[in-house]
Amino acid sequence: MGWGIYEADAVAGRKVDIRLAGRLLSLLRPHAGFLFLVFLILLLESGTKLVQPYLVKVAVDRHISAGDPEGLLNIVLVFVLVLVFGFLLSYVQANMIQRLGQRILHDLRVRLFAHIQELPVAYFDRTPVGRTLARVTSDVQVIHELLTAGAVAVVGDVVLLVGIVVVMLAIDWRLALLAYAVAPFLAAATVLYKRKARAGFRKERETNADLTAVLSETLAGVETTKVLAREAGAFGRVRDANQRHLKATLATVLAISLFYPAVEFLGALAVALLVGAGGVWVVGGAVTLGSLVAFIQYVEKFFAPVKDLSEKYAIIQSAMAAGERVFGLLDTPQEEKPARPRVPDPLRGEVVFDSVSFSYDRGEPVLADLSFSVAPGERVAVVGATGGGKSTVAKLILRFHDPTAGRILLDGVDLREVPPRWIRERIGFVPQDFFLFRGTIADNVRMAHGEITDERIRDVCRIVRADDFIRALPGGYSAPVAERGATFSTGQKQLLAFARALAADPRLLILDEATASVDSETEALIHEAMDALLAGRTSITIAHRLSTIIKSDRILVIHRGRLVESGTHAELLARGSVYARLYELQFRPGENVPPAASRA
Amino acid sequence: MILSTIRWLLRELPGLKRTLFLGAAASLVGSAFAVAAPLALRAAIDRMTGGGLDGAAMLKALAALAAVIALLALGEGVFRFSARWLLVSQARIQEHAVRERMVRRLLGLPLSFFHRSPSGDLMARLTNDPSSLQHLIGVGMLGLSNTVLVFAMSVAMMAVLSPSLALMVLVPFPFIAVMINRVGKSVYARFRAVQDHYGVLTDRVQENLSGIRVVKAMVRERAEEEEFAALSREYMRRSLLLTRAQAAVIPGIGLLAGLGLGMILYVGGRMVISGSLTLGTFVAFNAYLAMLVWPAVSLGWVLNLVQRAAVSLERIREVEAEAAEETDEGGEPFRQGDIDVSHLTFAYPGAASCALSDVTLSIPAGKTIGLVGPTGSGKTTFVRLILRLYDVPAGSIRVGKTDLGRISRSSLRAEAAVVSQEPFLYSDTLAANISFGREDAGPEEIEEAALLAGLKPDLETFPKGLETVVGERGVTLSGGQRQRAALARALVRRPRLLILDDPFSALDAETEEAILARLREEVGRLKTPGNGGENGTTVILVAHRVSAVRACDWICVFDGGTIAARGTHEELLGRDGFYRDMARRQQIEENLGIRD
Repeated sequence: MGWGIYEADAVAGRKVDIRLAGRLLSLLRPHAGFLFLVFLILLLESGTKLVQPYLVKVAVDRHISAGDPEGLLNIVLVFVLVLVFGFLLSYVQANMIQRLGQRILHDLRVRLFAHIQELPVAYFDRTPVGRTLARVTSDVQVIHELLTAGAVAVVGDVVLLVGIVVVMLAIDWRLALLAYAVAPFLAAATVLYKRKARAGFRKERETNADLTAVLSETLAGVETTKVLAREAGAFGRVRDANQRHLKATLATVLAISLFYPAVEFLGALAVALLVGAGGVWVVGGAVTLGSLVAFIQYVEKFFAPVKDLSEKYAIIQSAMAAGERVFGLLDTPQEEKPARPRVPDPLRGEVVFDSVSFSYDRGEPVLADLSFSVAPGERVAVVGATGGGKSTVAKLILRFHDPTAGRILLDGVDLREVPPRWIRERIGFVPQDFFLFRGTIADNVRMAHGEITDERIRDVCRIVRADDFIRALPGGYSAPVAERGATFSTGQKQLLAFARALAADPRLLILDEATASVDSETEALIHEAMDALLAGRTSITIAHRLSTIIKSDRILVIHRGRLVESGTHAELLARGSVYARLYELQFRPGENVPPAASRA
Repeated sequence: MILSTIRWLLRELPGLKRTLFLGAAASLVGSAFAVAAPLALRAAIDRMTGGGLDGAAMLKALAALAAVIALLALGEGVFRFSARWLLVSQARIQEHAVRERMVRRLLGLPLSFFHRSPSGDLMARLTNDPSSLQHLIGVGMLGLSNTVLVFAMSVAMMAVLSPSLALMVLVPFPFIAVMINRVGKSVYARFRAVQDHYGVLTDRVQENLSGIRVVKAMVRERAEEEEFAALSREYMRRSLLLTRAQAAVIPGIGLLAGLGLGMILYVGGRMVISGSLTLGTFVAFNAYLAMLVWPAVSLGWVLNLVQRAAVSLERIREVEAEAAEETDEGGEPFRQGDIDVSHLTFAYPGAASCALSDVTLSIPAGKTIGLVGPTGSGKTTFVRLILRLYDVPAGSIRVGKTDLGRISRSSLRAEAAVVSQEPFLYSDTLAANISFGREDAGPEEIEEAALLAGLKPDLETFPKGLETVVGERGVTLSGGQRQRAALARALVRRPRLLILDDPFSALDAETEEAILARLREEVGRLKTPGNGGENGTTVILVAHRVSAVRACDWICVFDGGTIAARGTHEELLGRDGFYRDMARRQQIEENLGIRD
């Protein structure tokens, strides 16, 4: 992201637009058969429109002028039949297009959503939720409008226009050429309009993006604005962007306002030509009166869609903008899937960090040359200061990110070769903040493992001491989760998180211990549950409670991204180094703590 | 509903009435030209079929009539252009005016409003809703005036030309009216149903995006996709119900009007055969009927616009109906003085439990007080209340004997400055951001503030120093850089009350210490004469590190919305409790640090 993006947008030329249009149209490809049917109906419908003036011609020439009331009745009946048929076709066609459009809209939305699920965590780290949200909701909607109101209608219009030109030539070539005399002017007006509108719409699009950004910024920063008492300044920013957008839209409004009446005028000019010159031919007998009447109607039918073209152009323009954004998101690379996936199956649960370094996009290293190994079945605690890189260890094992240097081995297999999903399915993960999804308690424990029976869920919950409070809920295991679990206490959420992790019977557990304090009773419950959970499995706990740490087989002390010490509790104590001091400080209350400022 | 929408527009939007009138007048003249054209056509055809003119005279007559048709069209074009330009440009102007008016309103609403309104929804109200009003005022009103005028005039002309035929042709039109009315109602209901579900869909995506890391860790992607697909399918179903109702309208109107055409063809044709109608009149009738069809079609479309606009207006008015923060009139100016808080209890609107309960404390003017405590213990709420971002019971907070509720907000906020943990910067230059609270600040002052805030080393890495654009369109600042920029923004205001709400969480302890030391010096110098300013600046410092609050005159420990302990650093260290635990924990961290 940088300043460049808007300038690039401004110069993005015709080529980009054509490629984009191609991609937008490709959304229709899977529905080619259905589309073909729609066009067939469109063709027939255009036919009914084309026939009407011709029937009027026949009625005038053969029956009215000839004084034949019976024949007239027949023609009128045919006329009405054609009308009803045309109505039915147009109704069916409109429904089919809408069905198609909604289908495409649905497919695109679901496809986008699925794509988003597969994006790497780094994408979510840097993209505000609102922006991604707009892609799936409003942008997709605009594209739908293009495909239905725009693309299909334009094809229908073109079919009708070509049909009118051909039919006019077939009925009377002299009158036809007379009517076509205004065509060059029409072409000139259209080209002129397109040139003006193209630049205008682009400007409108840019100022609109600007306005949207300023508006959302104003909402995001409202607290700051208020405490700085700068409402006037914030308002001024909105007003400027708003006025710039207004100015841009007025330019396109002017273009449309001129184009509309100009096209209407040209249509009337064609009628005037038909009446003046054509009239002379009628009097001379070279052309029938019926033909003249029919031609006047054809001219009207010809100019109506041309007039609407300007409106469709506007739709197409905004859809292009939306398309650019949607395809931009679809082009964002997903989480990498290893080319030749290898999985350690069955998983024993051995984890090795081999000189692992890691840093975010543009930051200082979070982990630097970190090496350690965890044997199958071992219970390891990771301790260290906040921001020292402990949580990153968990994120790397879950493959939210990959190491910048070095490698992580799972049962001897480099994690880069293991599909992220495979890992996450097999690792029990207890996050710091437990996130409850919509659904029941049982759903939340079962999560992605649909094969787990209700029986098993109850067993698991009993093991982690969650059974008691769940059964006390109205509905028990079928109790719905409201407001993302806001009604549960911290301790209850913790137990549920344990249950969720245990349900799949994982070989390897990663726990990011919650920092929030709970009462001592809950604390005891959590400890019991944790013992039950960790028994017989490999576990790596990002630990905040010293009691958790002491029970571990081995303790890794990580500071500023490096391993400073490791060993069992007893070993580390005996060594009398960093961990020993840490322990000392935690477990010898009452002693005077020297002033914190003793830092050199 | 339609009338009340239009009435609101006319009442609330200045200048609209006049433009609507002018636009309708232009549309009237344009329509008159349009309706006159078939008369010329009729004359021409009657000349052609009537005979009685010799070649040259005929040629002349037809040429003259053709010229008349062209001129009428020119006149029509000029006035149609005027009408369109007047109405549509006015609509755009009003759309933008409504947006500005809403933003002005929004900025005056209390913070509690923004905490309960999802910003996505507010954005929709600021963007889509004014634009649907614009559609109604512009193309809607244009269509409506053209429709009504052309309709009335063509019917009048038909009645003059042949009353009996006119009556017959008009037979289908009452059916059209009934149909539009019927369909209109179900369209409105179905439209609402679609809009509502759109909200559900949006909400679902938002939840998914917010919890995406958990979704991934739990391998919930498939389940999420399935749930989303089901919601999306439901949206499709509702949309199709809506379009099914709409799909019949326009072709249906076309059909009914077309039946009128058939009627002319047959009845009019017979009248021509029997000699009671000229062929010219017959053709003119055809032209008039064609003029009727389009208005009838566009009426359905205008109705749709009106319905959408009515829904939008409802949403706009919901925002406008929100009660603004009380005005400042009659408020007393902020005077520097001791801040006395007594028995302050506060709960956020709609929250079940209190964020603060029975807090009593006194902050002497010019002193620096530290607030510590676990997350969620009420520290941030406390400073929000001091700033009157939420209202508190009368008497619970006083500044120099004056009740906080009586001090004008603007004066309070002009004298106070806040730096929060996650400060917000605008997409603008750093200099503009720093001087955002004080546009009159000179470049030296800005520079000095940046220096004080410890922003100097960062500036050297930026392409244009203080003129670097930051935020979404520019350089992305790190959390620490943003905090320092916000501190500079606060300092440039030379505040009498400086609130630092954990502003250095993203910095390491050394940097924090250095900035605080400079800050203490600066605050010591911030004494201004008058209004109690000679007492210096009062500082409230919320922090998570003992090292940050050590030097404070006084430290309060918050816990669960109450003050658990208070005293100086040394006093608190001497007692069991949160403060000493915190000091010890940080001591450990520091000791660990000694190793590298």
